[in-house]
Amino acid sequence: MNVHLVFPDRDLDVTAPLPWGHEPIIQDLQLPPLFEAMTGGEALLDRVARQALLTPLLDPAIIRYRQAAWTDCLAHPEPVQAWHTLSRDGAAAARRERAGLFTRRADSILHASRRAMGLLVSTLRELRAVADAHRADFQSAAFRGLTHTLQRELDDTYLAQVDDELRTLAFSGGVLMSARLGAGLRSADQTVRLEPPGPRGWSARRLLRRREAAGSFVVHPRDDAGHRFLGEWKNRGLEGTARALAQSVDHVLAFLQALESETAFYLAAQSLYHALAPYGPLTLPDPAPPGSSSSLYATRIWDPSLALQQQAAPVANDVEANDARLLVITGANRGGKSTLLRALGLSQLLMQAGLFVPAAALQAPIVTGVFTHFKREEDRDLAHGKLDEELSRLRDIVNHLAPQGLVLANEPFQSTNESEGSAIGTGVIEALVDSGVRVELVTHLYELASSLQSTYPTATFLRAGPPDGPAGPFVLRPGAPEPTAYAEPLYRRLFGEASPERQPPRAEHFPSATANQNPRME
Amino acid sequence: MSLLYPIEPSARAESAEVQEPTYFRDVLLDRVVGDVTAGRDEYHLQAVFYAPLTSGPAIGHRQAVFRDLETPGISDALTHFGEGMRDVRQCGDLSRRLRHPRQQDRWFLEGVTRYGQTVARLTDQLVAAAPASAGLRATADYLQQYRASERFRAMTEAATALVRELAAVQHVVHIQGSRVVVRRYQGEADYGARVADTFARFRQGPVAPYQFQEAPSGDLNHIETRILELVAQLQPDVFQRLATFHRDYADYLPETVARLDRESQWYLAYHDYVERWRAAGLPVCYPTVAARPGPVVIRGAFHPALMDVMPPGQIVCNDFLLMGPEHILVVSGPNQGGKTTYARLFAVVHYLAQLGCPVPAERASVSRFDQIFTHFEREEEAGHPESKLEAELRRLRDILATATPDSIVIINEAFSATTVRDGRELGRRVLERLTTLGARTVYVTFLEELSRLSDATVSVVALMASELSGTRAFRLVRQPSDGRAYAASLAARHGLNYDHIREQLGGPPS
Repeated sequence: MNVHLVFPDRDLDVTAPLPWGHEPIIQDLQLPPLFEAMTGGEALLDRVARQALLTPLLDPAIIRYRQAAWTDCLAHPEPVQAWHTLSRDGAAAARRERAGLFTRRADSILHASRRAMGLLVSTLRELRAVADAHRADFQSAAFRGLTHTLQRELDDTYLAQVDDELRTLAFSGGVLMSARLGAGLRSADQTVRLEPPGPRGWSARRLLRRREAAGSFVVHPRDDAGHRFLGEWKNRGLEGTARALAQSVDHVLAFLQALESETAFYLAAQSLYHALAPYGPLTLPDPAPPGSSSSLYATRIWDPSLALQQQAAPVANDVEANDARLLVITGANRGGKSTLLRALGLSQLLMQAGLFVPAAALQAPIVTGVFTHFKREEDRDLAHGKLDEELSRLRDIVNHLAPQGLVLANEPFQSTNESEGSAIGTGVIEALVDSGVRVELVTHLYELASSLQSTYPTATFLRAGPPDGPAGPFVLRPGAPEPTAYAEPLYRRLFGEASPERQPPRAEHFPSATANQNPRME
Repeated sequence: MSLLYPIEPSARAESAEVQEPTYFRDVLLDRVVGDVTAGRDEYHLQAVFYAPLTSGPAIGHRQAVFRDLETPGISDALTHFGEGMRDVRQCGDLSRRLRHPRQQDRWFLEGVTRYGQTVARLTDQLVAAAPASAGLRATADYLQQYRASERFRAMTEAATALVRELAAVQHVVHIQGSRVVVRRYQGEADYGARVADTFARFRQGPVAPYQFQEAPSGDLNHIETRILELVAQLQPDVFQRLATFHRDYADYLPETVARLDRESQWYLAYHDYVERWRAAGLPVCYPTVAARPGPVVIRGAFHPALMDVMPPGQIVCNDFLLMGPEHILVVSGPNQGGKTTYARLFAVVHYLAQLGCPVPAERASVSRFDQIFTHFEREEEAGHPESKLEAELRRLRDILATATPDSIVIINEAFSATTVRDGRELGRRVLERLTTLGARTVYVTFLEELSRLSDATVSVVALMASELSGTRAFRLVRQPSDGRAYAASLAARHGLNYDHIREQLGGPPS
């Protein structure tokens, strides 16, 4: 009996460790606003959202499985919400029944489990009622499968049998146990046994009269130790039954927990959808199996995190990359380069979570893992360790990468001068691309970008024009790298000067050393 | 038959030397023996370690058994035997300790059952392993005869039958309130299994195993006793036979098997100790032990007590070489240079060799000693300088009076309580007497001129530990800073160059 809303063949494990490198992704792609929109801060939803977004699916079939289920949920949220609430509250009530049960006594465990199971059975009845009422609403394999499971496994005959078993477990007619002589003749292997059904149930007197009894004794009412010993003896016999029932309770709880978590995934997606819908187009993407294609087409792709932060629709860009093994973004400062990089990264994560993406259309290959390497503001003052720091982060990424992985690099190799940075960077990027790793790179290093362009002439090069350029602000167009980052207009605007010649620019006001060495600045 | 001695052990061999020899502390043999025998207190193995052997055949006898133990099948067989016998003893202890006679009988039966299995398994494994040593061959022969003996077979067959019959006494107990009914089991179905069945369709992944209170051990309480008595009424004859079995076989363990148990533990203890050296990559070898004093050749030896105080990688191995007329090693050099350890090691290798044991060295060729004498400065002797010097001279006089040319003498830092001039003079005279005596001597001194007294003395100088072990240090060399080289070398240090990344990602060659 399985939920299987999120995976066709297994449960969502909300406790699974997140893949290596998820912390920088959260920071670099600015995921917290998305998490907030998905979960409203609720703990389980948050875990589910993180698990889903940060553990990319690699199988296009599972992505489409979720896409279909999500479509169902968008059209019919009520049963999904009902299952979520019922499973959450039902599990909580059963857990309360066993709370504070730290005993290892079999009889206590047995009785608490019996009460908990009683509550769980009524929750299961309600879950099935929802399935009965909404079975016609669903088209997806995921939700049709769940309704079918609930109706098939929780039929009336079975639920009546469970009620019956819970009554028997009260042992109102005493308990019959078999035993062997174990080590040192101590009773061992005590096991509760079923008396063959008789006309009036079990009774000690009847047993003595009718069966071949060796004898009997009665523990004296004032023999406290004797009663305790007898209880212990009986408890050893109840262990198997208590374990079976307690584990059954755990299994039902696990089922409810899976149902709660997996409905939470679609409810979180629904919240995100409604939060993003005002700011731009949302669509289900078309994933290509890993390695099957090297092209990427995005129409009007936008950065959902920026939209949520600004509460405004951000600029959307088109990316048409026939060869998406390498995507290099160069050009003006404040030209929307990082925003596009984030939009691409977030879309990749959302697509491989099986969800909608912020674009009018997206066709992209599936990657084996997403890694981000963004420049770190907080490292700026560690002059000496800066290059070391960024290289060690990059090394860690390489150590965890596999072919068909995706590296989103934002201004790497810039903590040294341009020629050094370009020299290192060329070797690293070429090695990644040649190993089948997809690289999406924002760089100010002209030497690096132009060297990559001559090595990979079919790769995609986008350039951000100046904010006051003809295409408008934050719009990126295909274009070869240029040895300027349009820093001069920015400098002039900030300093209100006509010409940089009279007052040479100070380095720290330029995000890149490139601008300083640029002869065209004159 | 004895594993430890080629002939029946004479009472003298062990009982005379139950006291730890006085020099054990000085050369740290007390720590070695403590480490070897740790966890085996019940066998009282120390006495064997306190009695060095006095004949070449005896040494060869033990070395052969140690060589056999290097065959895993043999050491495993003896290890299992020891574990089995330990279980047997525990059953016997319970049988004697518990109050209820039926429980006593049952634990006795348990002990006999395990004993029978333990002996049978050892016999099979030992015969199959075909040991080469006389000691283990004789053991295998004995065990085969013993296992085939009428008494052993009758005992184990009776035990097996009783165990089976008692296991078959299955019964049911009905408990309702304070009333308990006992009767024969008649195939009633397992209810816990039905409960699991009923809820089987909920089964998800693994869940908590649910541990319950431990079953009590030891004496039965009075409720358990009453249940047992009712069960016994179901099949009284079985319990009667159990009591008879206990009476008939009360004294079943032959002395030879008990001795085999202890003696094999002595070998296993030392064998396990040697395995620790091997695991740490430290040397071990079988020494040759000549009957008469002659050359001493010890290569790559280490003091095994060092394993308690430092990682094996830091342990430095040393050589000893005495040829022709040489019989005195004069050791000088800086403090903390390992001089004392070196002096101890000389005695340790000789001593272990004469126990018939493998020794901690790459190669060792030594000869037998009759006695070992040590003189080490001790904290408790530090007192008034004059009385200290006097005590020291007395001790040396006693050593010189008792030692023979076959003895080993270890003298550490003598005469530190007097002036350099006096110390040199006293040292010279003691060394002259030792030269005349001819005993193998290690003499540790801070007066290096004592090493040049005669052709009987050999000088050994301690080098600083770092020179010996070649301790690595990071060198900081100032070089003209070259930016590109710096960045590129930094990248290379992180493995961030084209070839390295390509290799790591295992992509197709470009």
